[in-house]
Amino acid sequence: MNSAANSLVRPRSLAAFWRKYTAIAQTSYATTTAYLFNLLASALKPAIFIWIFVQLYGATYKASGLAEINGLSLAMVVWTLGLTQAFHMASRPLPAILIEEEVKSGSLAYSLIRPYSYALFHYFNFLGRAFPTLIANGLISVLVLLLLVGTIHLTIPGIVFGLVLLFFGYTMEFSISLIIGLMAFWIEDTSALRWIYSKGQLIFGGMIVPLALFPEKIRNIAELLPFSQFYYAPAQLMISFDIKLFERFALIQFFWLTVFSIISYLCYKKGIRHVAINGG
Amino acid sequence: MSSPIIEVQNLRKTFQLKQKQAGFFGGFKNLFSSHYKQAHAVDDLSFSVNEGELVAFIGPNGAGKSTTIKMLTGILFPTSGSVNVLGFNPSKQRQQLAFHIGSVFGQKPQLWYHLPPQDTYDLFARIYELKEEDYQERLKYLVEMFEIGDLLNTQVRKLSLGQRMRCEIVASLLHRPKIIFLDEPTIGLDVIAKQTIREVIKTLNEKEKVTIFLTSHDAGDIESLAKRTVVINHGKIVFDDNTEKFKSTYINKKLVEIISADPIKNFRFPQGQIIEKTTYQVKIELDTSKSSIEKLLEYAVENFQIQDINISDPPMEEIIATIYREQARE
Repeated sequence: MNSAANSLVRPRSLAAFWRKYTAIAQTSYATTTAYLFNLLASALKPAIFIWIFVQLYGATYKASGLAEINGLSLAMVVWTLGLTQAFHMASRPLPAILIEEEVKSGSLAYSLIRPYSYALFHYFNFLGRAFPTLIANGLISVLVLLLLVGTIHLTIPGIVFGLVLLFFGYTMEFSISLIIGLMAFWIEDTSALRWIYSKGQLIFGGMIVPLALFPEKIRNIAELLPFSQFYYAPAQLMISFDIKLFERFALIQFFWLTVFSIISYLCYKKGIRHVAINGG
Repeated sequence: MSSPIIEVQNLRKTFQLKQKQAGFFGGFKNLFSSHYKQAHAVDDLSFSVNEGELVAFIGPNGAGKSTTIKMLTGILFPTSGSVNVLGFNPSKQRQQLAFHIGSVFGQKPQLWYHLPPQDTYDLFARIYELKEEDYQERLKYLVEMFEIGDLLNTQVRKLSLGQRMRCEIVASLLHRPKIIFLDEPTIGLDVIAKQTIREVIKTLNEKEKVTIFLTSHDAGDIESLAKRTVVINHGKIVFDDNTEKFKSTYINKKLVEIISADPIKNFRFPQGQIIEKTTYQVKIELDTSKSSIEKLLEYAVENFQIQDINISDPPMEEIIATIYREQARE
């Protein structure tokens, strides 16, 4: 950098940083809420899953003749799975898909030419998109859960600490999705990686079977894997709050978040040199 | 004399292109052996651009124009050579440089598709860290200049291409960039929309002294805007001089296609060469240094019952071929 450039260097300011990234989240929020009917219609998707869970686990509990399995009642199982689905579906589409589209269409050029961090742009874009969907999904899912399985005992600490885990769960899923998306800098098409990832989440993420119903050994392994920490852990904490459980989940989340942040940073540093913008 | 604000020395960009054999067995073989071809998109490019210049950077498809722009803006890393833009090394100081440059990639939108342009402008004001008063004043000025007042609150997806392009350019100018990179800004636009865009580009350069680096396939953009033209082909500069010289030497021909209601017989216009002829249509290459288009049209109207007329510039590939021929002769 020469002396001419020195006079042009913009000093870093925390206020400007905050205004910049919150503006990205706000714009993303505005895009998501631009079509309100579509937002509400999407919120019906977890409701359909909840109905399926009621049928499936209703038959299972009836056949077993037990009121509780591994300490979980039918209502608790359906509430946990219903909330997990509602949280999970609010995170879609994943940043990996958007990054891959940017690479394929060449619009990556605009994302890279702005005075912001590429990763943070996608992070705040993701949060701004997920927030209104989470509200819509949450409201409709809770309504359907109340109608189909009735109330369960929810506590304020459970909800508050569950929301803390949920925020870090979204951040975790963003960072792993960012890594997959950045792979598009090398391989362009990440659909195979996304497929493997989604299946890992389906099995170990508590999406269709609560981890509490797994045999103990498998449950312990599944809880240590990142998949269950995105949405199942917050849902489980909300349904059956225990501060020790919160500490355990928070520690696992912290570990994986650190790992994924380091990997995504390295992938970006390396991948940016591999960028070949399509279409000129 | 103004100083260079873009300096490029021996710039190279090489892409590794994976070669795939066709067919089932070819695809199977590819699983075990990969063969790469090196494509030299930019090959030993050196040039400089002074402050306030309006430079046309032209060439056929795949010539290396967009790759060069992307290296100048820090999006792509050069394979070798050096780039200096406003004193910054773009690939190392991309974010700092981004505060002072603007860009429009004609084929790629930067406005948020489902929102009105106003929302993207508000976002950019925060991204470029503009003070609220400066932003409002600048936006007011640009809205008047580009006549987009009634479009500000219409969703981008509902705008016509010409309207959208005007809004796109405004988005690139909000932060008062010192250099604007325009990559085919008039692509796909109708004649009126092209003219509007050209006028505002000219005004920006003349009034605000913004340096403009323009790529285009449209000879009309170059003729009406640029004072200097750089022609690039296969990643190398093949012409770099003032546009007047370029026009008089290489864009002195027009292609005129005339379609008549009656069969065209005995078409004789000595200053034009017939390059294609069917019963009702004739295509003439007119040397504009010898005769005007007006005279050709007068002759056609007097002798034939004209149904349609198309006037176009020779393709860029032909201009490049002429440049090579001229250079070989010298």
